[in-house]
Amino acid sequence: MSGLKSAVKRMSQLLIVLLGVSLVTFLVSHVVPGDPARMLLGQRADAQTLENLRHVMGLDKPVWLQYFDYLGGLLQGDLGISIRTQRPVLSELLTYFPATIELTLFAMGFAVISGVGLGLLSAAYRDTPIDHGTRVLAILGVSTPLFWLGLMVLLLFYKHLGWLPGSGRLDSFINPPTQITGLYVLDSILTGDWVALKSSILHLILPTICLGYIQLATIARLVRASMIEVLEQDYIKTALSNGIPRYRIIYRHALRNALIPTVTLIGLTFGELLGGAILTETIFTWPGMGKYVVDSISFLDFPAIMGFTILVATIYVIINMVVDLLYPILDPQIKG
Amino acid sequence: MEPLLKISDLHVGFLSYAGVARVLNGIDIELFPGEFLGLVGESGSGKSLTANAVLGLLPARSAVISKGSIMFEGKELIGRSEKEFQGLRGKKISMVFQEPMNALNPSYKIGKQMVEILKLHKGLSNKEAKAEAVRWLTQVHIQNPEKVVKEYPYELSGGMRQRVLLAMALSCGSQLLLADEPTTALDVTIQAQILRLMKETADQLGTSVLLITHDLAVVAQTCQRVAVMYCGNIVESGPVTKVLREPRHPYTKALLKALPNPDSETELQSIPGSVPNLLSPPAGCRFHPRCDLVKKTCRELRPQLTTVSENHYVACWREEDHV
Ligand SMILES: Nc1ncnc2c1ncn2[C@@H]1O[C@H](COP(=O)(O)OP(=O)(O)OP(=O)(O)O)[C@@H](O)[C@H]1O
Ligand code: SF4
Ligand SMILES: [Mg+2]
Repeated sequence: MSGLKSAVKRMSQLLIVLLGVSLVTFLVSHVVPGDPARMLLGQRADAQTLENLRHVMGLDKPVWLQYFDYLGGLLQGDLGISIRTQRPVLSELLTYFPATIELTLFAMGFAVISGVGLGLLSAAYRDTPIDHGTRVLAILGVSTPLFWLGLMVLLLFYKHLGWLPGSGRLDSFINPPTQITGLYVLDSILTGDWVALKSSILHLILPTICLGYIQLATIARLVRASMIEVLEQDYIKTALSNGIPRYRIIYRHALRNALIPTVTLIGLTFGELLGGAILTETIFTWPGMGKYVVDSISFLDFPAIMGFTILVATIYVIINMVVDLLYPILDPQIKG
Repeated sequence: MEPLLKISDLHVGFLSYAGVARVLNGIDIELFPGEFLGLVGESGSGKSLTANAVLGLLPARSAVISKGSIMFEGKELIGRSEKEFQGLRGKKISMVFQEPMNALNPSYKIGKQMVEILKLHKGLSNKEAKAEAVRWLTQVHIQNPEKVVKEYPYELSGGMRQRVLLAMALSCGSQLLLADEPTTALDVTIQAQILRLMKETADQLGTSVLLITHDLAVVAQTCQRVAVMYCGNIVESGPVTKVLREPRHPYTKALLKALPNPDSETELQSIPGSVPNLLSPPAGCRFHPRCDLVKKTCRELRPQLTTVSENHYVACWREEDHV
């Protein structure tokens, strides 16, 4: 397939997904009982004021018309006005977005690096204590609820041991680094602000571990399984019989082939992490989109909720496109 | 002449929950420099295992070498460390396998895979190794070697891949090639080409070949000597002309009868009975439950290989009756 053709194909896939997501969230948010105008004005507002506000907000129009209005705005990059804060949803989301992305990226890095490492170790040392230990860690990972793990980690490292901070992105007496990307770690490196760098990394540790742990476990299990499968292949026997040392067989001949199924999982992981970020942010009072969206939900702030959903869906689709682009690099038989 | 490879009384067992499967039960094989030795026998008789034992490739956790010796160039191989074996594999002793389709790493170009072992064993620079890889592809009659080194395995046919594997196996100067059914997975016409190529290349380089096959016609075409294996034992060995024309062991005779004969109308005869369970193999001669000539001793004692004529050995109690 030519580059242009596949780019067009991918873009149209993205559009279809976004159309679907916007329709579903729109419908769901409009069948949920509750009146945003009432939420905004309070219980004692009189009928006329309510009516006026509904009209201003377009809530008196038929649902399908409201949807088309919304879509029209969406095409121009307008996600509507937040009912709660009366500010444009897009700019609000963008303020909170970097914090969430930073947390998600760190959790992803943590899960992928340690997951692949542990999976490799347990395949290379199959049926030894190393393998059994990893298995226990993995089973705990998939069976521990995130909120429970978060609370335990907070209790231990923050409350009892006092080793690590347990809330926010920075110590309160430290100024955030000059905003470039909004990712504190990156920005403080770019501006050479080592004080902020240290503080932001320390603040990332606990939420990163909690958020990444489940995915780490899943990745480790998958890498182990596919490594074991790959190590049984004929070409591994060829490599062995040609005198190639064992460590080289593992990292050069087996790992690359074993990573092909893992890459798919990593793409899916990103979506899960974004979802998990909401919970993690609540536990660690992380000022990201998660907290924003929870507040919006309790206020029935539909434009904000929908804006969030669409943003997350877009990121998800984009990440999976990137994953698709990675396959041909790993597996020469697949041509992008 | 000193044999290049001398396997004596090799016993290998597999540990399992049901007990020890005595899979190799005293193998004796001698292979001389520059010689082609055929190793034939039914599926499961232990041919691949014998080859793997020579390369130190038995599964470490389940296989046990309980007895015997494997001498290569006059030195014992049993008990060598993994590291010492790594130094031998691909450099002094090489192996090609049955299935060429998946025997090359799908993620790397042919050239890269060849260069890797050339650098490893011969200490060549990248550039020298690349030139050497091209030279070796030419040696195994691959057209357009400069193009093939840049291709991935999936772009080559089965026969081409087996040529590449042969080139890889021989490229670092191995004196011994263990070829485990190298042509079984290929088309008949390609089979003949690969065999001819193997023969030609090995003869040219003076490489000795242990050719594992269950095709007696292949043995007749390529080997000087043949060893017949049954259920973990060598039951007969000798020059191809003798063993195939005047077989002495009842199992060899049965094998030859089971061959499709283009000249006669007679039905293909399969060997009656089945290969025994190796967890509790028959006592004495392992062939006795399927043998027409069985006598009392056969059920009690294992017959050893004895000379029946020059270089011709047979392990059968009835053979001694003839003498
Ligand atoms: N890893 C293993 N664990 C247990 N038993 C094994 C193992 N590998 C081989 N065996 C047994 O050893 C015996 C000999 O196997 P081997 O592969 O050497 O046979 P073969 O003569 O090469 O047969 P084929 O012609 O089918 O390749 C078989 O009975 C097999 O069941
Ligand atoms: S030793 Fe006995 S059982 Fe075995 S092949 Fe000879 S005759 Fe048959
Ligand atoms: Mg075999």
